[in-house]
Amino acid sequence: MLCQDCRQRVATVIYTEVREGEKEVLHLCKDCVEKRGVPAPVLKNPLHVDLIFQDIIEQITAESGVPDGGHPLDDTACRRCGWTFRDFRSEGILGCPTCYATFAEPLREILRRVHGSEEHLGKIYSGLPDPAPEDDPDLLRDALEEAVRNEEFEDAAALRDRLRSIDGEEG
Amino acid sequence: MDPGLEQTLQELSARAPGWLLDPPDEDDPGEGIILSTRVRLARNLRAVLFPHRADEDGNTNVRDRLLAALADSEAFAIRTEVPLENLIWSDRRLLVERFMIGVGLAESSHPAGVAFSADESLVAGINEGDHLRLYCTTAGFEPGQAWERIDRIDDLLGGTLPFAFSSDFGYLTVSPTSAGTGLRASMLAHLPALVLTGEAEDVLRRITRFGMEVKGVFGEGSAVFGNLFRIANQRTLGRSEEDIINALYSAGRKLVEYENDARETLTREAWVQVADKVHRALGILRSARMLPLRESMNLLSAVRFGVNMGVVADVEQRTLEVLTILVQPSHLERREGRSLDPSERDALRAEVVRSTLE
Repeated sequence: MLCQDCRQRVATVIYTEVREGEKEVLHLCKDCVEKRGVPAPVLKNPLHVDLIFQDIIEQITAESGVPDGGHPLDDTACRRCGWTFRDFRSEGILGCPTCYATFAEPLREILRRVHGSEEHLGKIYSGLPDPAPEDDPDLLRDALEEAVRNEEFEDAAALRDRLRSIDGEEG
Repeated sequence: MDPGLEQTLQELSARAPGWLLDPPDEDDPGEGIILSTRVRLARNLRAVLFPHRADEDGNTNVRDRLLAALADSEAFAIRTEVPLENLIWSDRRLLVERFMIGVGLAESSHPAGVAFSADESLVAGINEGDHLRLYCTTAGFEPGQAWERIDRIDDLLGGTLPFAFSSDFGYLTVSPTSAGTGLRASMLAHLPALVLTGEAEDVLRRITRFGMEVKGVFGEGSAVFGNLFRIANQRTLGRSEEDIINALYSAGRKLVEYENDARETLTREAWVQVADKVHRALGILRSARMLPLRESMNLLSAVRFGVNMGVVADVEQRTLEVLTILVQPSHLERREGRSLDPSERDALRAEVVRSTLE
């Protein structure tokens, strides 16, 4: 990120002005911080994962080689929530748990760079089992699209009913 | 506003969180330098849109579902539920000032909520980025205990709630920076000697090499004041919960060691100056009629340092921790029952500090 004062040098300092609870956060370079007459900062550089994460997303984007800061997967949308890879790159967050499956490939690389690993070694969830295939809304939605494409309208109607009842259960 | 809620907020504004009054063990490895420990677990419901993506009904349903599950869970012992959309900004900030919720939840515009136990050691933030964030806070440096408590609650909740989990990526969270364990274990460290000797930046940078991230508690980046820092694990994936907790122990011990070294240096080379700074700070706190927030946090830090160093004998460290929370802007406004302009706040802050330290 470029310094928000001079817009020339890279911002290395998060500068916060606090006036009784109202705060303004600026990303500045060292020279512009000094120009603002601030005493030697306690924390000069970002030591926080969110900022490192922004850099990693920018790296992944640059490495994809698409001109104008794009990414080949930008228009890929999550089948559950419609969140696109472009949305993810700009917001840094995902739309729903299913996004992890939708964007598994690029996420694996991002996770590896953020955490130094792409493999979960912690607690294993052992509560409620995954839904059976006939109750999995994502699979049902795929089957519905397929049925509509093939003009199998009876199947499509049945699938739609099943989906509606599941969405009702999930609230 | 619901009169019950009104009363709850009024009561909160005048008293310290229960966990803060629960003294750490005599041999607390935090040594008065690590003031508190907090463990956070992020969980989401399977196949349900994250709060920023869901509509109002979706978010309301999630909140009702989670509140019901928490109410049923004996281990959580939920005492108070607060729906955030009913609160004005100042009251939301009151919860932030008590370390209950993050600023993100306070700023949320969708249906969100917070539920907490009577002593506030257990807090559930609902629709705070993730569907559910569970927090366990303890006084002193006790990450192991905090983790055990929250792990048990997570097991119980997981029995009735379908958490989003994949064998590859572990628990699935709104930000990939929390995926895997969803565990963020943090400590609140008071590092006046390192700041005074100009070593804080260097030492904290070294601590980040233990896989830690660092934030100022008051102010950010260049504007940190009060010498308070929150240090948490940076990585949540690719290591077990026990590893994360143990890494926090190591980082904490290291930090206490560095701070103690800096304190020794100050004692050896600038004892009179240190004692002078501490006594002046106490003098101002005991007699000032106007105290801005930043100044009061810096003075409280100096006196806390003095108590640790044996320079001040007639003030308890815990009193200072309580004041650190109670003199923040929203606590003062709630206590007074109306919004205050900055000079009114500074005057009331001075009064609260004076009457407590007299």
